[in-house]
Amino acid sequence: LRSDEQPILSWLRSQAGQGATGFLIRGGRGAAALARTLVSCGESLPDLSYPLVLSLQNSIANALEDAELSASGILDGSMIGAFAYSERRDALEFETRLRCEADGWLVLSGQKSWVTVGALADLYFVYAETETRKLQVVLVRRSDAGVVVEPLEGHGLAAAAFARVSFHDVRLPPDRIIEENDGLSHAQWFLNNRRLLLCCGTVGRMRAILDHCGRYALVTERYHRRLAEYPNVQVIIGRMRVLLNAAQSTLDCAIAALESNASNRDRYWDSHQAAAKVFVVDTAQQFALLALRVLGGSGFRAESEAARFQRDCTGLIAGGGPQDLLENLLGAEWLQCMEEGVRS
Amino acid sequence: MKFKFSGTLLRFVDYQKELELTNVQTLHTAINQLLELHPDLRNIMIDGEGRVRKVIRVSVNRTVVDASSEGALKTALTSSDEVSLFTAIVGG
Repeated sequence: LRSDEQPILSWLRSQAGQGATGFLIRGGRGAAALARTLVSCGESLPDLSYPLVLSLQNSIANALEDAELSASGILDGSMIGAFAYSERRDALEFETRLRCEADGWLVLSGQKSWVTVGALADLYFVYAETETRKLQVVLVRRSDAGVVVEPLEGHGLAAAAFARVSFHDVRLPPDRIIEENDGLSHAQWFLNNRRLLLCCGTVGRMRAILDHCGRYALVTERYHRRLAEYPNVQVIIGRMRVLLNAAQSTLDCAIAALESNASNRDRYWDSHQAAAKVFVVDTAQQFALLALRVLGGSGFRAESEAARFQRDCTGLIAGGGPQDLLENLLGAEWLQCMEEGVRS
Repeated sequence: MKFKFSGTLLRFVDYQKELELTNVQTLHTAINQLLELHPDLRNIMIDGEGRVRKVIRVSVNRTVVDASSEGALKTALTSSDEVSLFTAIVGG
């Protein structure tokens, strides 16, 4: 499964060499710099997996304590981390179990159904319930006996190396516990910080696709006229520009809110970040359809960047929390604030 | 005093938006009474050390308090006070 010939691995190592895997360490102060890097990655690389996985490595590094981080290899790009939370159930229930043996060691058993970069990862943040129903977080290495990784193919995000990861009585030393008492809050903190970052690459990709559509319209002739001369094509390009500007502005505002309000924002539910994720992902899908209208049959070919973008951005509908659930919570929070006469 | 619920917690209180409690002196006793009435709430509201989870946003009369701290739990409540609980639990 893990081979150093995977292009995304060498790319991650090169990014790590420039410090791009450690922007978020110590409270997220590097969010703006990381977001700029991710937008730029999205603009220059046709596969959205690359900025997605880079952002994930920052989040993993940010969640590790100093000693764990120095041993993890995340910062120098020699190792990859993954977030193993989701099971085939809701976000509050877990079948993955962690029990403590008489010698103090832990035994982990269960399965995580969908782990981003799970097929390439060297270590996993695994959320599991104890016999007393505590949700704990443990660091599991791929090399630990009893870890089984099965690659899963996604509809898009080809290099994101999705996997189902199973744990068959994996014995772990007690120092592998990352969070002992409140794994639920730990997961929400982790995901809260990820929402904004996972859609940065999307905005960069939108810029690249708009340029691509513009070039295509300028050189392609239909009925003895260039596509760029047709008012309907100009309207579509104009609409794409509106969507790109709106997505970029939403991202910029959410990043500014994140950096300016770092000390007193809710670390577990930041509505700016959640709203930005929902908006950018929805906008990207509308944008992809418009690109296909400009590009016609050439845009529909599997190797087309626009078609790939359309497939990739649908993967973000569920990433960092499904769109519908985020909208539900945003609405409920807003209504509660209105009811109480407080502006969120 | 009155509890008001919003977000993920609603499911654990049979989708009641509000719950009125009597004979409550502090935030601590209010939460204990709430957990007695709705035991399924305990696992989502309370962490492994018996504290209110940080992911639960607790507001007393519209002011957010850190209910995981002992100081906040000593907050005195009267019959006219409102405690709002908002929780956003999402997978990913």
